[in-house]
Amino acid sequence: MKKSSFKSKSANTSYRTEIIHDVPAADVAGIIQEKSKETGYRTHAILPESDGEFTLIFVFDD
Amino acid sequence: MIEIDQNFILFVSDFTTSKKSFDTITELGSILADSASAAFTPASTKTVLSLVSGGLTASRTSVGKNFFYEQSLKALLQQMSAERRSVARDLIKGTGATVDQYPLAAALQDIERYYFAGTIDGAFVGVQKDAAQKEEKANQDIAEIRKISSYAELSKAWIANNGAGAARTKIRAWLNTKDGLHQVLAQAVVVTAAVDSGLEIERIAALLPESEQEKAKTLLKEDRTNKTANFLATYGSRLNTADVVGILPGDALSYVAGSAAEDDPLGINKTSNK
Repeated sequence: MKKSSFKSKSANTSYRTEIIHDVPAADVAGIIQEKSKETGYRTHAILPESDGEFTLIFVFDD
Repeated sequence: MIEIDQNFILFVSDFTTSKKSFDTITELGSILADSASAAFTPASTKTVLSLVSGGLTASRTSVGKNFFYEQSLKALLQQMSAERRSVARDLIKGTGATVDQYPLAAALQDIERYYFAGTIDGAFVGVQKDAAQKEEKANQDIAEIRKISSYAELSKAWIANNGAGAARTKIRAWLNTKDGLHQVLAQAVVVTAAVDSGLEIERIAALLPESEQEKAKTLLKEDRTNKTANFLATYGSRLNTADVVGILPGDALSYVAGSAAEDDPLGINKTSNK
């Protein structure tokens, strides 16, 4: 699994977005549960990848 | 409430002190017996003392394991504290409310809950409740993954029948319904799909003003972990997400649609429900 993060802004609100690539299906639920407990968590998306794994995208308050 | 607190402190103190004392006494007994067995010559005395030492150590291990459940005790005490804090919050909140909002009966019920939260039974109930909630959340997440994978597959078939152009129009319409926080998320999804789809970097860079394109291409040559994040960090605010959708190949479109399965952006569920 590879993780990267960046900052973005929308309507004067700053967010921090975190992208985790290559997440096996079996690990998706656990990672979402852990991340949703982190400070500032707002929402997430699960993007399927061509090899059956997933990319997870989390948005936090900055 | 103060009386319940005092009882709880005494209970925690008794419980932890009794375990420590027992461990120390048996530890000392074991050491003395070991030293004595080394000092005595007759083999029979040595054997008896060694057996006593072994017995003491074994009984400590046994009592430790059977009665105190070692680390479980800590977990139970933590659970009790957490439950007590949670009920205490309700009680404190209630003291600021009117009699109509927080009648005496409700306060007495909360005091009873407060007492129960500080008991072993209460801790077990709390542990079971937490475990059930975690399982429920995990089941929901697993159901979400299944829904996403299945919607992505259905989207592939839909795109094969209706064409990528029709999918782009529908996904753009879906993007228009997003604002603020969800727009940020949708943009990250679409750009990640574009960068991961194997598109030539020239096509992605061409979405930016000419003066920016060389720098964008350099960013897009980085390794997979960094390129999406760095590209979005640098150009996210100037990038039109609908334009990115315009260059997405069919498979990438189906993955973007899958990530939004809840919203049914292609209208697949609406069609199949008719």
